[in-house]
Amino acid sequence: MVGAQARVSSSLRRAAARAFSSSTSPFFRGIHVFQCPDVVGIVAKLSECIASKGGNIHCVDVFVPENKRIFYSRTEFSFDPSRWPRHVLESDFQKLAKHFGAERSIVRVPDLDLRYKIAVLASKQDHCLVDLLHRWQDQRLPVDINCIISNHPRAPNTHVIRFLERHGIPFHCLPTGPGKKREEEILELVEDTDFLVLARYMQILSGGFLQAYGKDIINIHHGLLPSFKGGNPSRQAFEAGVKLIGATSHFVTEELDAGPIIEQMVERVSHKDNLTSFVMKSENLEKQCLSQAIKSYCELRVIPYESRKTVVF
Amino acid sequence: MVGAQARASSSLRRTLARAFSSSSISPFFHGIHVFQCPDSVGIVARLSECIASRGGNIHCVDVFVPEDKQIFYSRSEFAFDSTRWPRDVLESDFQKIGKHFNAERSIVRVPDLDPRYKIAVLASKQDHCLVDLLYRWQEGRLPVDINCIISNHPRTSNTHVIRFLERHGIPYHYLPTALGNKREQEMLELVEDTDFLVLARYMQILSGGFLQAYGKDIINIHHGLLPSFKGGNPSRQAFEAGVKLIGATSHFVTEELDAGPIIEQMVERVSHKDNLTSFVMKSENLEKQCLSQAIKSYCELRVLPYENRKTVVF
Repeated sequence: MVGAQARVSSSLRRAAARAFSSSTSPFFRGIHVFQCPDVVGIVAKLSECIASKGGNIHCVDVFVPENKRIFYSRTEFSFDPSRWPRHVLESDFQKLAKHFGAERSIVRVPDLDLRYKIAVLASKQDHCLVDLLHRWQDQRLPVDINCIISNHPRAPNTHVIRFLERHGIPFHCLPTGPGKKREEEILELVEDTDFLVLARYMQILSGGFLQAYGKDIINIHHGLLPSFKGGNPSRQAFEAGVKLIGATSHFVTEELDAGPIIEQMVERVSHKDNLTSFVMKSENLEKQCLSQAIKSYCELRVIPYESRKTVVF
Repeated sequence: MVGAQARASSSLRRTLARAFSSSSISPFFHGIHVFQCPDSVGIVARLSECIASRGGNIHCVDVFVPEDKQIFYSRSEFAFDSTRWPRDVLESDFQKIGKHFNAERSIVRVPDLDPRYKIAVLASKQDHCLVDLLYRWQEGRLPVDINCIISNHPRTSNTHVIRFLERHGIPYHYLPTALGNKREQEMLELVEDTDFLVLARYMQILSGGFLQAYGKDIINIHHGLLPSFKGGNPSRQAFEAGVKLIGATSHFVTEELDAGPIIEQMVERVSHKDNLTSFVMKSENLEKQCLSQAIKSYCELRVLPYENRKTVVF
């Protein structure tokens, strides 16, 4: 089976396997993320709700900033779906959200819910795309990949194309040019996704596209923002004589390389490095940094905070 | 004894202690040689033969020749018997090799025999880097002599810094600056007898004229990860940019603000849990470490200017 059929079937299979296996406990893991105006009693109410349904809390992160009365939390808990069915879970948390006027209340049960559907956009550079695909194949990236979109062609005999064919993932080559961003076509292709990943996609998405798509887009910038915005940050870093280089993953906004930062990583460089090793170290960082950001995002750890920042639990 | 007398006496004392102590301490001294010349075959052979021929034992060699330039950089550490290879002969032997290879730089240093580097430290209102330097110096971890402290910010006599300096006989010069009056002439006089300067969060920009007149190296600490956040209040800039890493950079001072060759950089993680106060606190910790590391590397002859904006740090 290919594509959508395979995904639905796989999700069902997973749920069935868990529900009907005798040696596996009937407990599922749930994640709840909450953002609301701060008041006394939110944690008490949330935890009481979970406990009253027999849920066992494993992990809680709560954050209320010093200077703003906003409450952020992320809770991990295990529960018995025969005692607390999925749809009741959903409505129980919705009630709480209403009660507290929550701006955000998301509950997710990774083993029951559909996996996040993504599309990956890439250009000529392969390393981030290939790394993502391998992690996905190793089941370390809990997403379904709807398709790959690239403005750079790849011949049928390349590693990437053959990999995609083996897994039934469509590859769409949409070459871009001045005045021709192909954004209408891209929008159609990514309509059914939950978020997008720009894996060294070198085209700038317009404000119109961002508004039309409306969902999150995660980008990897091969430099330590806000240093070295724009093109060829490795060369800029090399010429600046820095002793540390880095990569930054962030949400895409209209302003280039300026959206809320999710994750940053660094590596040491010295006089022994040339431009080639700068680039190589940078590529390693990009792979790690992008996949870490996606992982955090899928685990509901990333919450936008103020206008330019993120809470990352 | 105070000041210069104390320093000369201390250097003599150290040498005598080593030379005349009982037979259980060897007469071996630790030497450092730094070399930069046009690259050719045979430099390492020649340098090492020179050291070996005098009974010197090489402990450590760093050689670097860039891919795209025919320039040779090396740093060697060796132990030698000063009765067999006296200090002045050591000097002239390396000078000969320097001449032979047309070296741009050939410096030999014997930390236990040569006078310590003399520095002046410039500071403004912020204390943390200055205090940290002074403390390390007192602990014997900063192998320099501190000629004086110069500050454009006053400190009363009952402060920790002033009392510390008085106890150690280090003069403190208060030179308030104002628009159009950088006090650079007076500073030049005060720092005349130094080997290099340290700007420990000194907030005035030294003019090109001063840099030229002083002529020697000046090491600055910038409280940000250059080239990010040049200029003022980088902690606030970083905080508002929502970065997940903050850093500090120590570098040589050039005419262009915060743009001289970088010596060392360090980072620390920050998150949503940090506020501006903790950003600043983490930054101050980094600045202290980064600045003292740069000074240490510099005193150990590990830092060589490389191309026009970079450094080799062995």
